[in-house]
Amino acid sequence: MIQLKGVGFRYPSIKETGAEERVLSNIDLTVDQGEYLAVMGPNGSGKSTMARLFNGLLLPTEGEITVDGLNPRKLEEVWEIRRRVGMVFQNPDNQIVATTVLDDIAFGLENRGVSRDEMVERIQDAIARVGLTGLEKAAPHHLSGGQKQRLAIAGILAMRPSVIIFDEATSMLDPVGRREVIAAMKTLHQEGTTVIHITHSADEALHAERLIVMVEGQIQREGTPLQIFSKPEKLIEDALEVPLFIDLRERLRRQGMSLSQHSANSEELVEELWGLLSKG
Amino acid sequence: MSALSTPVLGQYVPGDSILHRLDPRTKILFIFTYMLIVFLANNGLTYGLLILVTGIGVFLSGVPLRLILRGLKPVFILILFTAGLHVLFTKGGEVLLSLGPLTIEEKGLAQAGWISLRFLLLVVTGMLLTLTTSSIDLTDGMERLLSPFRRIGVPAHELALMMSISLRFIPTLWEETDKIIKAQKARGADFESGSIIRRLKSYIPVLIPLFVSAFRRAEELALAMEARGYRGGEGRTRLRKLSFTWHDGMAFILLLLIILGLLWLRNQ
Repeated sequence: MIQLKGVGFRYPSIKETGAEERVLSNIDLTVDQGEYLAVMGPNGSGKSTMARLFNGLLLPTEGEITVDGLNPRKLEEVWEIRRRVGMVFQNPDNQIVATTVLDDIAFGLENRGVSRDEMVERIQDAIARVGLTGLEKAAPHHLSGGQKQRLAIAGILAMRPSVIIFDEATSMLDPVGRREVIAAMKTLHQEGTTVIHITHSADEALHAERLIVMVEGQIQREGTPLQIFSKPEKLIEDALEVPLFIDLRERLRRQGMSLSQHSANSEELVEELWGLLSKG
Repeated sequence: MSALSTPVLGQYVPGDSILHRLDPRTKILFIFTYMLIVFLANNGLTYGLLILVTGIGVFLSGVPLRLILRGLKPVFILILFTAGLHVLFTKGGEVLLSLGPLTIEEKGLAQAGWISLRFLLLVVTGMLLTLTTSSIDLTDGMERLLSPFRRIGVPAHELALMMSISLRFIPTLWEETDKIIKAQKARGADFESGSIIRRLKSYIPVLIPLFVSAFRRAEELALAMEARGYRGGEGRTRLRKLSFTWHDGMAFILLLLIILGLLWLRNQ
């Protein structure tokens, strides 16, 4: 469980200007174990900064944050936090350290000082879970974007984390790679891992149980993705795209069609439209 | 295919020969010692022994000879150059040929021959190491050989990690260079015409974006490493294990015999 109380963050000031940019302010948030949370927001809204607070890569300048009761300000506890909270980054290339799949998955375990026998076992398990079996000896530059991101996930899974943060991890992938990574997220969630997905894509955010919309360093809206997209305020409409079927549905409603707001995907909307048609 | 896809001198050739199976530490130690003792050779017999040993090495590696010769191509130019200098400027012995102020003398010719031979032996043995050892085994072997010197401040783990990260990123940066070249060509950049200076200058708009992006990559990689709990070599365990077998023992005995042989033959 990740808990934020009144968290704010400023990057240290740049000497010449003396200006201190405030990136996050006054964030109260609890992420429960096993939750599937999506975070959306325009560029510069503080999403990635917040993610980096979650695993102690950055420390809050105001307020407190705890991960399973551990405090990232304590040097002994921050390493345990980083084991528990794994992070998949945006660029698939820049997070792979080693020259083969096996060695890269081992990297985090080696850092933790895990014994060799256990390492071998955990690596096998992680490779199987992300579906990279058979590619153990492959070099990273021979993998596709989606495979690289799954390799990054495997490296984290081997650490037996309780939370995995995807920091725009699908944004540099082609549609096939995206599907692979989204499928991996869903499986992780089903297996009980907390999934935090930072994204620009409304369609991807729909998979989550809860959505947070951030604007200018603050949490602007919070709720299920359907709730948020169905009642878009001006501010949110400007900040993010709305899934196509919801956009269409709301436009049709404004035109006076008697559609409900219950449809959760495009199939259900089509279903409802058919229903209207047959009624005449 | 990319414009930059030329194979590198002594690139690893996967295989399962005795040389491939030797522990990388053995190979590194053997070849470094061998490179030092090449300088013990001073006459036909000693050079003969070294040529024999190197030949056997090439044979045992199972690497096709033409691959080795192709890798040597750029080296031949260097060898010819040094040989040429020796022929012209080492004086002594009988004058064999004289063209105005330039003379070719007996000692010069002999010296050129020996130096070229020595150079060739050094390059071929060096190549044997990289031809039969994957880069990751090589860094691993280096790290372990250097780790006893950690106490006197040799950053063994850091050096090995730096090497392996560079190896990891060479293909990535290569691809990127190719991409930038194409992007600049699409904007009308010309890399093929003009004087050498002009052509070198035309690569500046390739190098600058490449450096900027390399720094950005480095920053992101550092962050990713930190997120995965990296905090230096202390308390780290290793997935890869190295073990000496009787082959390695044999290699060291062989090395000792070569040294003794050289010491004996050089005074004959």
